[in-house]
Amino acid sequence: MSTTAMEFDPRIQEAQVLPPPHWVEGHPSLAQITDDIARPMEGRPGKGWWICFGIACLGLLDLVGMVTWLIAKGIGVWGLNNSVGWAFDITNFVFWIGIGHAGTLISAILLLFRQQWRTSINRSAEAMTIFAVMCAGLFPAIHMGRPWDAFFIFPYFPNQRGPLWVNFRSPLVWDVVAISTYFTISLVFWYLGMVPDLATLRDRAKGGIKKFIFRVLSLGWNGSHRTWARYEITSLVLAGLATPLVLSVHSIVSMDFATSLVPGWHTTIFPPYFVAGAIYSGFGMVLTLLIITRQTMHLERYITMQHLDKMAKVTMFTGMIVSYAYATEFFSAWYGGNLYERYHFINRATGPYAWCFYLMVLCNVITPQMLWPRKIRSSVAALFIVSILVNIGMWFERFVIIVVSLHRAFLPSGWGMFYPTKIDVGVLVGSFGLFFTCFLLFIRFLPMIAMWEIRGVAGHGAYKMALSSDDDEEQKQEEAVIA
Amino acid sequence: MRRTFLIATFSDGDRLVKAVETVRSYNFSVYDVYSPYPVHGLDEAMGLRRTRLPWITLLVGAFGTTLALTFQFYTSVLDWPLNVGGKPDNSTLAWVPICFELTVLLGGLSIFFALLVRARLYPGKKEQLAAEGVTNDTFALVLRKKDSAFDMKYARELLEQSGADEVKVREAEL
Amino acid sequence: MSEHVTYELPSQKRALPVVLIAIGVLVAAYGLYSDPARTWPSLLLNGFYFISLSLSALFFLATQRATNARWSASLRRIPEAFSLALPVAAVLMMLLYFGRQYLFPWTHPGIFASTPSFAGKIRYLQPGWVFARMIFCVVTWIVFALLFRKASLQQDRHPELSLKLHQRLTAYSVLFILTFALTFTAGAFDWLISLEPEWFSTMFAVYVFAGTFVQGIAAVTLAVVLLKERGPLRQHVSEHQIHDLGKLLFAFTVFWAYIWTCQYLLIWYGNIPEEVTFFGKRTNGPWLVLFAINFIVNWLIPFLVLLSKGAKCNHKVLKTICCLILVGRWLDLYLLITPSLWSGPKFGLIEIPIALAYFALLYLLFTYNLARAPLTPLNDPVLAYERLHPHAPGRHMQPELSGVEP
Repeated sequence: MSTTAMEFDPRIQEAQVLPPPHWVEGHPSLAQITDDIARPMEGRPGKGWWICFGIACLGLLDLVGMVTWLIAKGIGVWGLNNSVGWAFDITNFVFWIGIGHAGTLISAILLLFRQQWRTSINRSAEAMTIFAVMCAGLFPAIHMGRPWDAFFIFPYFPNQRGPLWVNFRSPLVWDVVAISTYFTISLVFWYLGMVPDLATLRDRAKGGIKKFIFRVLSLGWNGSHRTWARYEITSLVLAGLATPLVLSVHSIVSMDFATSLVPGWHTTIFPPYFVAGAIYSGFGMVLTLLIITRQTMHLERYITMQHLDKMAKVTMFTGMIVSYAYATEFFSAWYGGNLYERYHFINRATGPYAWCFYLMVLCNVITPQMLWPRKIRSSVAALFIVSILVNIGMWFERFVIIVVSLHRAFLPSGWGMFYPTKIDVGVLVGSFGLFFTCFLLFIRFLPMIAMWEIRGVAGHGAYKMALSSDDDEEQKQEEAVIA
Repeated sequence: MRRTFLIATFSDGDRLVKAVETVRSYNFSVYDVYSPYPVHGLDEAMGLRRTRLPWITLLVGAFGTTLALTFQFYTSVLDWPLNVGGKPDNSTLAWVPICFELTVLLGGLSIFFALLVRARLYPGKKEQLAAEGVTNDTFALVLRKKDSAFDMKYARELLEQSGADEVKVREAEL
Repeated sequence: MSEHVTYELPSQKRALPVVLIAIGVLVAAYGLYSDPARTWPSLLLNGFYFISLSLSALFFLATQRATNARWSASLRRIPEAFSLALPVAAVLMMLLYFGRQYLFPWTHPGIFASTPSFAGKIRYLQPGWVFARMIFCVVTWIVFALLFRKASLQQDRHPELSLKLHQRLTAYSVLFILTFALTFTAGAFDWLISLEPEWFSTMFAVYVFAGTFVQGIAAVTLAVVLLKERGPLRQHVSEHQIHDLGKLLFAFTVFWAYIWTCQYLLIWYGNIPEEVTFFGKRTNGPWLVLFAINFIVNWLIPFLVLLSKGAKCNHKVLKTICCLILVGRWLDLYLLITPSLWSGPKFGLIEIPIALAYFALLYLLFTYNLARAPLTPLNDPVLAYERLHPHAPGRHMQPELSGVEP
């Protein structure tokens, strides 16, 4: 070890600098931030919101009707048959669970990685998680045919149906436990994150029912730093728990398939591949939702183009992981020399559902590649189209995995086709109705951007530096003069 | 119980941290600080010890793992062994997912409730605000007049010099 | 900033590694002559260890640049120095060509006699193809390592170009990560899976990658902590950066365990003869002990120890865990390679000297490359910004989030 005199270039002082990025546009004051975010909730919603809400309610109505019909008649009203016993229902289930994952990724994993860009979008992403998991949970329940017996899937004590227990070796039971845990922890995380903002809203409310509700929900929060200190550690611990949890949930969902022997299902890459796919689809949905809210609620200052750019990059990256997994599966089928596996992948690309496969490839492999040019990443319209394509592609991915595997498994005598009925499509559309109704109510009544976190970024981050950078320029000039 | 407090309000987090440092260097103990977001550097300035809440997660989480493991063992091996798919009764590997989930569930819930208990937060609690706007854009530094030895005048001077916007004495329940 | 730090290995410290290398070469020569079936696997194992360490250092660099990470800006030279061992590692790996009949069953004629003729592996594992692929992979990696280094050193010399070079490094990183995904998969298949051509797992490359990345992080962390303790980096690396490295190490040991569990669980659950043979071999007889130790050393101990914040910041603990993981990674590779070739574990007068020689060679190459450039990048725009704004909030020295741990 030695310290030697500079031998490269004395112009080191002139090195160019790269300041950290700003995540809030303009220089709003703390009160301004509160105002910008809280005001839309206090006034009357605009026309855009009402139109969206109306459509969403229609969807919800459709869901209620369809599910009532389904329960009244039994699941025969779906297009399921002996060959294809899982189709739209499980596809929708996996699709919605996947959507939820991006919310946890943004709120927990990006918190651990100290990515400040998460602050503007984490709240709505977490809300999205909650609603998506609600939609997801609906499908296994109605698929049971007798949803009133749904409690059978939980081990309960004393067991009144003899000492039989649920089969703990079954991935379906893991699923139940994983998803209820995921829902509970996400809800706790989301609510805890909102408490300081609910206190802000409580203090803004003039009185009446609004003040009462916010007072109940905000738990008497008064901004004490002793509480803040504990609060931050609690958030970190919850984030630390949610991170492996989110990996485990979709891994376990993938094991519903991968522990079986069905060609196209039994493959070891499923767990990480499903997780990547979930994040990919979730980011597609976050992009869709945030672009809509950004435009309808006028929050361009907080959900900036840089945010959209970052999300587009994550979408692109996870899209490529998904593409890698597709390639690995095809490669292994070719490499391995298992007749059934090989036939399955030939059937995927050339069989009766080949169009689904090509649609999936188009949306999940080719579409993310469109995001390379900065020009596309900085166009809201282009990103919106891409995000919709991602959603479509990921729905079809699950459809391909589930239906194409089942419809031609081992014995040709057991082959069959699946054709969705009106009820199948109706329930799928209805689940979007449920999701969007919840989301629109959320952005109307709860703080959809974490005000306290934005204050932290604005009060502490690079933003403040930018305000004082003029002073720095002067200082530098002074130093130059002295030198 | 109403007590007497000296409350200084600030409009800037950095000045608040400096004020806390100043006040403490003159041997006043800071009762608490109220802020609209967690101001970094305050932990050190106030001399707060790191919270021990995470230990609760560790303990309850470990309890969750044990509970899941023993319960699955009890149901599948002791109480009602059942051959499903030729898997051994004691399929420990297949129990890993549920053990993990229960660890996370109990660990997560426990720290949430522990926080509420420790910070005395509960639904419907009447908020005690040190100053108007502490949940919006105001920072408040609060000293408590414990006894007659508390030099109110000196403390007030100190706070005013550290850039407080307003310093006032208030009887309150904080 | 008129001075910069460099590093130099005192010449008396070079003696031991040189002696170890000499002994290793002699033992390897003797082993190849007397018992080639026992010696070649050692060369594959240590060669792969060597190349995966340098490669994962390069991958570490790439992840940092591709994600615009600011915290690690001052650490860049350490992974760079590891990655520059790639050319030597590549040569050592290509030498395996001469031992192919002792290692790779697909070099034996008639090995696929009972395999269905449509199986792609018959074509994929044509010896000519495999070695062509291996050469392609290592050449690609070397090119990227050199490109990185070139741009990085250019930045030292040209402050006026620093932002442009910064962006160029980012572009290289993105390209490298994409290339890496494909070439590393190919490498994992050709060097490791093909030892048992009848077996495969789609997760395998991801599994090898998880171990490789942990290995790289452990090596970088160990080097950073040592350099900070012994002086050269004392001023340039903060405790927060060490804490961050500890967190990264913690996270990726968990990731490794996750991949390990998923792969094992699914194969155990499926219980298909062609799949379980792989784990069947490794959980039978004397291998079972090693199999269990592997999981304990690579996950359980690091996980339990690194759970607390104190441990992630404690140099002594961190150094111990890094060493443990580096040894654990060797064991992991041992369990991937040797059960395919040997009927029982062998660890003795041939394996130990050869392993030590590779470690020594890696050490010498690392210290040599570390000494060839300033220990911290001179004109990195992130560091330059932080020098101008020493009290800027949000800079990496700033205590921000203190980590997650009970």
